[in-house]
Amino acid sequence: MVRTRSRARTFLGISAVVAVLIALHAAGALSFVDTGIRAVFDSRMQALQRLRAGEDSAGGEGTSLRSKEAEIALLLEENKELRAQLGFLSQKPYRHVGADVIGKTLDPVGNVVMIDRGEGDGIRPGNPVVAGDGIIVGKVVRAEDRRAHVALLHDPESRLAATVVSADKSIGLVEGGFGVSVRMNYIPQNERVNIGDMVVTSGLEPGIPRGLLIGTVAAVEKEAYQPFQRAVITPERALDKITVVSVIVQAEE
Amino acid sequence: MRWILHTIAGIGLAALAAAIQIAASLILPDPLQLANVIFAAFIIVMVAKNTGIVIWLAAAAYLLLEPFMTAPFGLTLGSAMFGMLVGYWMHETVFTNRSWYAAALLSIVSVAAFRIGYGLCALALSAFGMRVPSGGAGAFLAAALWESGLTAALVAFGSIVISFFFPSLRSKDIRA
Repeated sequence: MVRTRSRARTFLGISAVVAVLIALHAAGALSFVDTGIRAVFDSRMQALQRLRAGEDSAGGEGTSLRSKEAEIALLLEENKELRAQLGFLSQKPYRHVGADVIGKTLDPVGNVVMIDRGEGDGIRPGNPVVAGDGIIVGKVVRAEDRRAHVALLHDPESRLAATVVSADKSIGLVEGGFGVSVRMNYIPQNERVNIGDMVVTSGLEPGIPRGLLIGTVAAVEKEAYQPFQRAVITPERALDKITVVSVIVQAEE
Repeated sequence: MRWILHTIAGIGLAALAAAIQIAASLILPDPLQLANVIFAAFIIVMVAKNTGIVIWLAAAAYLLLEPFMTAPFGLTLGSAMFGMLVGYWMHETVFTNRSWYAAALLSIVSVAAFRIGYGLCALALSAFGMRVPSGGAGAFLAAALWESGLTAALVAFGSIVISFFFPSLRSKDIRA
């Protein structure tokens, strides 16, 4: 009995401490802790993310010449990526913010990455995030002052209104949670979807412009007597290897 | 003076555990990245030193990780403290020896309590419209099982290594 009371007190004590920390965080009193932690960890996480994204070109040997070659290869990739994004965005009437991917979040499930821009730069939850030549890679799900969290297309909770570039212009919903590929659901059964068709954003979602490339149809799943069919989509970009993105903060002038 | 040194050492250990957790999540392939390094480290400390201070050390480590979570602030921190608390109670009453298998079972129970607490709080917060990454019940359960198994393996390995280098921590040397 005494032990039970003691444990109940311990549990309540710990709950009280957690409640106080949550209240302090909500009031902004712990912002100095966040700032300090990010100052220490962000650059290192970014370096690890770049290493992970460029591991194909980094090579295996540890000589200084090889590491210089790897660094040059990574910089060339990044330069190419930035030129593609600039080329695409300069032709569109979008207001956009460029950002570096710091790293992946540490949640137990999900495919969410952090970028080094946030509310202070005009980013809001729901903003689309693109890479390369107008390829959408995800949406902003959380925006803090100097940082934002982006749910990639294959995140289990990612949902994107899309259309197939075909004669029928089928519309559906692209959802993640299926490994590295994504699925387009709710395509009417009577519409034709072919392997190799491109899938783009439909423009039916507020804040997400029409025509951003999502990927290509890899397979079509049809069941008799079902009102809808499904398509397996291969994203246009390897979502785990992105290091530089642009956030479209305003889709129209 | 001694308690100041112990506090600094504890904070250092929490920071180191958090740093290793971040590195493991980024470098290791799926599903190895699910191993809970923080729980593994502090369960080994709990069993070796027979102390409940690890609950607060885990709190410090998860406080350092909160900026890297999409989940609302406090969800992971509170669940982790609850998991470590349950682990400590189990260590006091059920898994009372210092064998590597007791430590491994203890880690499974702790991680299970952590994720059960996380899941229940996530459900409650979702009801209020807050976004909590869960990936659906199936994905969450699969991730939790992998996390328990990998953490238990890490704890078992760590316990064996520590008992090899510190004979006083072997189960047969525990005094009644």
